[in-house]
Parts: sequence; structure tokens; C-alpha cells
Amino acid sequence: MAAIYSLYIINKSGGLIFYKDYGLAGRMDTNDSLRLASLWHSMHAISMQLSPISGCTGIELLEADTFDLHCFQSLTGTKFFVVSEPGTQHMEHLLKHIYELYTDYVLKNPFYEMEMPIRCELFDINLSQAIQKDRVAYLGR
Amino acid sequence: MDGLCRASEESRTSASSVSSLHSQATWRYSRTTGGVAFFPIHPNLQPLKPSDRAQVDSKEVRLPDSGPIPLDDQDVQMIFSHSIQLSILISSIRLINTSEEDDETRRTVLLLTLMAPAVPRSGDAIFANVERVNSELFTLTYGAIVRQLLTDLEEVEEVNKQLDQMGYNIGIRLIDEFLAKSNVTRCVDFRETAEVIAKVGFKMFLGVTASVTNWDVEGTSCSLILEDNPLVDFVELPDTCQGLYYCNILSGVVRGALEMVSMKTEVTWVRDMLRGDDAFELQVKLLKQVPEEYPYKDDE
Repeated sequence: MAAIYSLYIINKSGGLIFYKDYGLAGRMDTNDSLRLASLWHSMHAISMQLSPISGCTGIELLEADTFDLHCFQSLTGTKFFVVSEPGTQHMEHLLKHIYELYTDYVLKNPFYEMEMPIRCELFDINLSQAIQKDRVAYLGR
Repeated sequence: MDGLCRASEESRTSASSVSSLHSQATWRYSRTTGGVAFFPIHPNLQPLKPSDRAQVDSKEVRLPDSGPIPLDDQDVQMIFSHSIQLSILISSIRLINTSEEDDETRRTVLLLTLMAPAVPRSGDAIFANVERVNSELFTLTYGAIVRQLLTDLEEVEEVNKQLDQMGYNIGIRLIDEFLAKSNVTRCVDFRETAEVIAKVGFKMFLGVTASVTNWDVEGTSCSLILEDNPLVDFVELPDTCQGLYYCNILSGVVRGALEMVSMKTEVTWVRDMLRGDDAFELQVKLLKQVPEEYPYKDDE
């Protein structure tokens, strides 16, 4: 059964503002996750420059032997990406949904400071529901 | 049948060009019954699931909350030739479900949706689906805020400034909500941006639609005209507050939202019904489009 390993949210200047891992595979300590986030931010930027297609918006999917990395960047520059088991489907829908949760439970929280690390309990709760639901609805097929 | 063919003619034209565009996502512009919509032609079309295939074969597609939608041969062929997952179609249709309940409209939407896994939603559709509070509560709360600011700051000019700043702070957060829920894609130019704000943005958050006029020659400045404005439902400006732009929060919201999608703008009130004009007119002037280029300057 396909699984999501971890979820990252990066602000527009490349700082990691949210990290969560699910399951045992691919677990990382704080330093490694920060490093991965800034690395991805730069690679994403480079990929836009290198792309032969004009108007490219950066890497959406990175496929490796042991994981897939799906990335979604909003028009405001915030990046959401999940690392998942190879071949996991419907990750773009999940990312889109996470973006909606982020707008609802993070940005609308008046005490959340923009561009700062996300510490919102409501977001955590809804996120874990979404991930669970996705496991059932999408991945369990 | 003819009605459908006409209605979805535009989409069929786009459909025929899908195969040649597989290498890149291309964005088409179309109108549905719900208002302005932008249909991305998505390169990741996926094969039909067996259960969906059976539905299409039987020429009747069922949405979870309505009766069967009949399909004709041409529709069936189109669905198979694009072989997009019906489940995605159906969830998209539920997203943009407009108030029209007849099957013909739904079928048109279904076929139009064929073009787009993530269909942009009209302002009406989003407005119909969000949780709402009593509009009087909203109007009165805003009134109370303005009153309090007037008491605290005393100067009308200061209040204008403060309202604008509050709007800006709302705008920089609200833009993400707008993008996430409306599914609009990157606009080609400022004209399109203005249309989207007026038709989708205002509808989605205020429940009213604005019209866009008074374009200057360069296409960098225009006016958004609001005939109806829920913020001023019970308001009469007293003589002591003549300089007050009561709705200045709105100009701040527009400015903040556009700034987050790299457009520096200046937003000013030209006409104000509270000052005896016949409508609200908000002038939006594009000052500078900050290109999204790396490296971002961190210290800016």
C-alpha cells in the first residue's frame, strides 16, 4: 500500500515553515529537513531557469528509486511538497487540498505571523484528517 | 442536443487540439453559465477506471446528488478519446455546480470539464458554498470598527490610513484563499487581473460584482465600479467626518492581494456613494510589476 512519508511547506524566501513525517521511512532530524527544504527551494528555482519551455513554473514531480517528491507552488510563492512511496497517485489533489487547509487554518488565524513557522493546532488536526482520508479515498483503491 | 453542441463548441475546438499540446499545459479562456472561467488543458489525462467506463458505455453518467446525465455518441467518443478519469470530472462538476439544475446544463458542464481536472470556479459558485454569517452582523461590526478608530485616532485622515493598513493586512492573507478556492490560473495581463478581481474576487468575498471601466491607453489603470456595497447598508456620513473614506478597507485589501502576486498598485476612491455620488468607484493603478526572478533580494 502506497504511503506518504513526509510533508513540507516552504515560504517564498525558502524557509521551512512546516514539516511533518508520517511513518518510519525517510524520517529526518530537524537539521536534515531544513537542509532538504532549502535545497529543494534552490533546485526548484534552477529548474525554472533551465527549462526549455518558457513560462515554466518549476519541478512538479521528482521520481527516484525509493521515493516520489510531488511539489505544488502557489502563485504567491509558497511551496508545498510531499515525499511519498514511488508511484503514489493523486498527490496533486492532496497538495491542492493542503493548500486550502493552509489558507483556512493558518492564514486566517489572526495570531499567525506571515512567513513564520506554522504552529496552529487546527491546521494539524485537519491535516492529519486529510492525510488519513486520502489514504482511504485515494490510496486504498 | 443542438443546444449542447453550440454551448460546448468552444470546448470541442479545444478538445481537438489536446493531443498536440500534450507536451505543455496550455490555458484556454471560456465562459460558462456561471461566469468567467479559465480552462486549463491538462497534460496528465489518466485512463478511465472500469466502473467509469461502464457508466460512459451505458451513456448515462450519475453524479452523487442528481439524476443520470444522458450522453450522446459524440460525447462518449470525446470522453474515450481523452480518457480522463470520470471521478475527477465528477468531483470537478460538484465544485462548479451552479444553481441551474437541469441536466442539459450539467451535461454541458461535464463536457467542458473534460478539459480540466481543476476547473476554475465562478464567484457565484464559491460564494454559494462558503459558510456565511448574517450580513447585518458583518455590516455592524465594520461600522463599530470605524467608529472606534474615529474615537481613538480623532483625525479622519489617520482613520483612512489605518483602514487602508488593516485592509492591506487582510489582503496579503486573503489572496491565498482566493487562489486556493477559485482555481484561477496566472493572468496574462493586468486587464485580465482586473476582470478576475471584479467578477470573481468581489463576488466571492462580498457577494457583489463590480464592473471594470475607464481603462487608460497603456492598460495599466482602470476603475472598478460597485453599484452595491454591503459595507454601507445603514451608513450616513455626519458633517464631522466628511473627509472619511468609509470603505477604505477595500482599497487596502485589493492593494495587499495584488502585491502578493507581484503587482505593486495604487488604489484610490474616485466616487463614493456616501459623499453623494451615484456609485462606488475604485481606481486601481498598476505601478510596477515585480518580475518573479531569482535571486529574491532577502533584504527587501
